[in-house]
Amino acid sequence: MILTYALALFIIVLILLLIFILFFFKKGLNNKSTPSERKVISVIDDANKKAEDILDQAKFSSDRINQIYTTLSTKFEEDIKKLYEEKLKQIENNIKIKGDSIDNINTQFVKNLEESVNNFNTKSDDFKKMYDKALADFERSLNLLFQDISERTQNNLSNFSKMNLELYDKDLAQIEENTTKIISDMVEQERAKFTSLSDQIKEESQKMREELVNSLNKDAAVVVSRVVKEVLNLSLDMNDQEEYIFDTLNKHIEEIKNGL
Amino acid sequence: MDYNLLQRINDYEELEIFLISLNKYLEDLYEYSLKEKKNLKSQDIVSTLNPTLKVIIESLYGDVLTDEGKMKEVQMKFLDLKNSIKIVTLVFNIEVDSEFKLKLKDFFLKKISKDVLLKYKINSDIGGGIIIQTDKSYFDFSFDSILRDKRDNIVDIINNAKV
Repeated sequence: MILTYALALFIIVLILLLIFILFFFKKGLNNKSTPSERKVISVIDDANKKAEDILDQAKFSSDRINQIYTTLSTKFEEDIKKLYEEKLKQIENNIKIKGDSIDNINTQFVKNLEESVNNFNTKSDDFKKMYDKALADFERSLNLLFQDISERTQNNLSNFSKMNLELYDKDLAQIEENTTKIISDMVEQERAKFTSLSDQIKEESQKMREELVNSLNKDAAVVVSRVVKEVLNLSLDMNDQEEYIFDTLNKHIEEIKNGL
Repeated sequence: MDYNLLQRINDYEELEIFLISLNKYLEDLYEYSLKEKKNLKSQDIVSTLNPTLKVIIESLYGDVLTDEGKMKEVQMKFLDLKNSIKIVTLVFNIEVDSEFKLKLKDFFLKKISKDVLLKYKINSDIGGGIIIQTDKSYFDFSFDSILRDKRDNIVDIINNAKV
């Protein structure tokens, strides 16, 4: 009894094992690709992966260059801003100093005038003439002075902004040149890698083509030889051949005559 | 060349058979005249001659069968024909019947040359069609050669295929 049960259990385990093996075998059979196809697919996958790597690197380079641009342009803005502020401050100080000296002159002149008025308060006409002339002179000098200051300030400002723009353009051109060179070197490098890869693919496909042609050649030779043998074994009688023979003779009459 | 005689002969094989028969007949005739077997009738000798040949000789040359001298002249005519005729060998894959041979003879005499005598060979390897051989040339219109060309053409196409 016990033996019977043991045997039954053993058989059941064996069946389960077979099912298990068949399941995995069937899965393996589903791969219907031929060795040549798998090879080609593998080469194409490699090429795709390499192309993706190149794209990533190009993107990385592009991001890095953008970063450099941003940093430099920010720094430049700050430097220019700082210089502008310093220069403006200097000009303001100059104007302030000039302003102070003008105040001093004004104060002094008024003081002198008052003294003169006090001293010459009885001589009205002469005094009036003198006062008018002095006032006119003062106004003229003041105008000249302000004009001079204004012109100098304008020139200084325009020279300064021109100078800074030139420097900015020069640096920008240098950055562009450097960046162009970096990108060009990277592109050349990647191009060389890609050329090598495409040469490899070309070589592989040429080998596959030759193998396929040789295989086709062998198969075709066998098929054609078989067909020829079958046709030659047909043993057509003269009734079947008569039309062909006389048509052929008629077509080649002159050749046959010349061959006699 | 005796064209009347040529017209009466179907093919080269027949000419050779006639020549052998003539030779034998002349030997017998000579022996008969030597041994002077007067009790032996000439028609006994004549009956040894190929019947077709007998008809041809009688129709072309008259009653000369028992005349040794005239029969030798007849033999010369046959030999002269063999030496001066142009032989064209035709090769077929199977035996050709007499009706077909007549058609071929008629074709060659009318369209190729009247100085031609046809000879027949069999070669089953050619599959069908015809091969024509003369002293100077060889024309292969057999099925074997046609198929061989087609096979070479297919192989060329495969070799030059772009994959």
